[in-house]
Amino acid sequence: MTVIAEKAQSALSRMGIDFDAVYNAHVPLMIGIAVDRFHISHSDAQTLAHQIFLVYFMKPEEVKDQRAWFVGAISNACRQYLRTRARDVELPADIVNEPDPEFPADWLPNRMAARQAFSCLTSRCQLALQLHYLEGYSIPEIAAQLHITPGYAKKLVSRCLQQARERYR
Amino acid sequence: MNIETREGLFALMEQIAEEREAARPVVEQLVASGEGLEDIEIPEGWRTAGFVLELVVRADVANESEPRLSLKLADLGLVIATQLQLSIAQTYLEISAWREIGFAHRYLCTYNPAALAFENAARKCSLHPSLVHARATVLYAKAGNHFLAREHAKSHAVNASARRIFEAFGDQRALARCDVLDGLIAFRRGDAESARVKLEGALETLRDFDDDRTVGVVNNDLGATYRVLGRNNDALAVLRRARDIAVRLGLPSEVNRADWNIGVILLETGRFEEALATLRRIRTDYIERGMTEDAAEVGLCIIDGLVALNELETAKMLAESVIREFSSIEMAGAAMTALAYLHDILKAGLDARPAARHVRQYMERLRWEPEHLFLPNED
Repeated sequence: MTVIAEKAQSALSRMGIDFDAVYNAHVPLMIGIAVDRFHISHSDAQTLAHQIFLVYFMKPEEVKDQRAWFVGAISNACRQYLRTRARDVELPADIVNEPDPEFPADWLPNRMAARQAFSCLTSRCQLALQLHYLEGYSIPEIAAQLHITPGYAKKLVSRCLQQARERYR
Repeated sequence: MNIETREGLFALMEQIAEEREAARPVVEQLVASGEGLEDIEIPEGWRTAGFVLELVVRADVANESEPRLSLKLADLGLVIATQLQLSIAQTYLEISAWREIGFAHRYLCTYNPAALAFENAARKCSLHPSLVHARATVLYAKAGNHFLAREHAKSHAVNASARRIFEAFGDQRALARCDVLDGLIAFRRGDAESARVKLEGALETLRDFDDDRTVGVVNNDLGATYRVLGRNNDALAVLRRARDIAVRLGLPSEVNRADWNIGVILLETGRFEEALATLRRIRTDYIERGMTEDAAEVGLCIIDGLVALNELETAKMLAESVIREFSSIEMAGAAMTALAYLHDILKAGLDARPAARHVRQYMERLRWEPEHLFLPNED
């Protein structure tokens, strides 16, 4: 019995697409292409194929020709996978056997607290801080993104950072 | 959740589908209430992949008709997506949110933030090998944004990059869309005949796909091309087809585009009152939706019609509004010179008909020759 058949009234089945059938039609093919044509291990090929299937699941209506899309996706994914692997180098043996110098208990509580403090801010504050500190947006770029003046954007980032500090304490 | 096994993959898909169903009424309530999406504290129950997916899908539906709302939904989706811990699903959702942010800015005519958003989306596509097609769709969107910002060389180059990826996927529909963009670039560069060939070819390909939206858009583009080629009857036929599709699919920008071109044909064939009725409706709609540049350009067409009907005081006041609107979007110096020239003629009570027509046609020509200098009429 398939996964879908076991949950006949599931949210997945209510999407109106037989994902089970699509999986059976295309995932073995994708794995076969990855293994036979690109010489990727079966387990890595299955992971790539599953990642592609998950992307398809997110917006299935965008895919008109399923077979062409899946074949194209796995071929491109395999090429990029192999290019990335070719740049990987093994760690020297003396480093591999060394224990990690940082013990997670030293920094984990602070990181968790920081994440909790951040998530308590309003969505606008979170966005402003994310744009500035994670995406590297300048103040004028933040202003353009949020449709506010540069002066207000500067105050917003400063105020939100202050709020995050206060919640972190 | 581990998606290396089939069971793990389907379990995650089921989870996201359930989250999305639970999110749907909440997102609809947010949209309907008009609550300030920027200032809410995000409840824990919203921090799911399904919630983000519902937000970006809703943003996609609204990006043309309500770009400000679309931007707020996409911004909220991005904030939540970056806090998920779901590897490729998280990355895909961030890309989707950035893409919708880009589209919203595009429809608001704020092309620089749109370009940044598309660049962020494209950069995140390189994080997973399975996101190559997503990268192509983002590149295509970026190319479209460059086109609207009058950066035709960049648009052509980025479109070519997207085309190469779509060719590897055999995605004929996407390739037809790339052809459409190439056709539009040719149109902007003054080669309406090449544009016609590309657009007609793309339309032929698109007939095999269930993609009425793109067919409508291409009919609109073809209508503008036929108009420039002097084929007004052909233009009206395809523009009416484009309009019918846009009305059926609820695409107000495409309805406006069709009406705008129809309005210009009416102006140029002397049917001024009919033209003004159509153009006024479009301008009001663009103003309400925050599409300042388009509202100002339609304003120029209205001035042309008002002058033709000798409603000079109304034309002068409208010219002042249009100048303010173009100033607010930092229009190039030559364009402002042209507008100031028209305003001066109206203010002086001189015969403004040739000037109104001349300035409107100059502004249209600026789309494909942004460096073209303005010279007043010799008349």
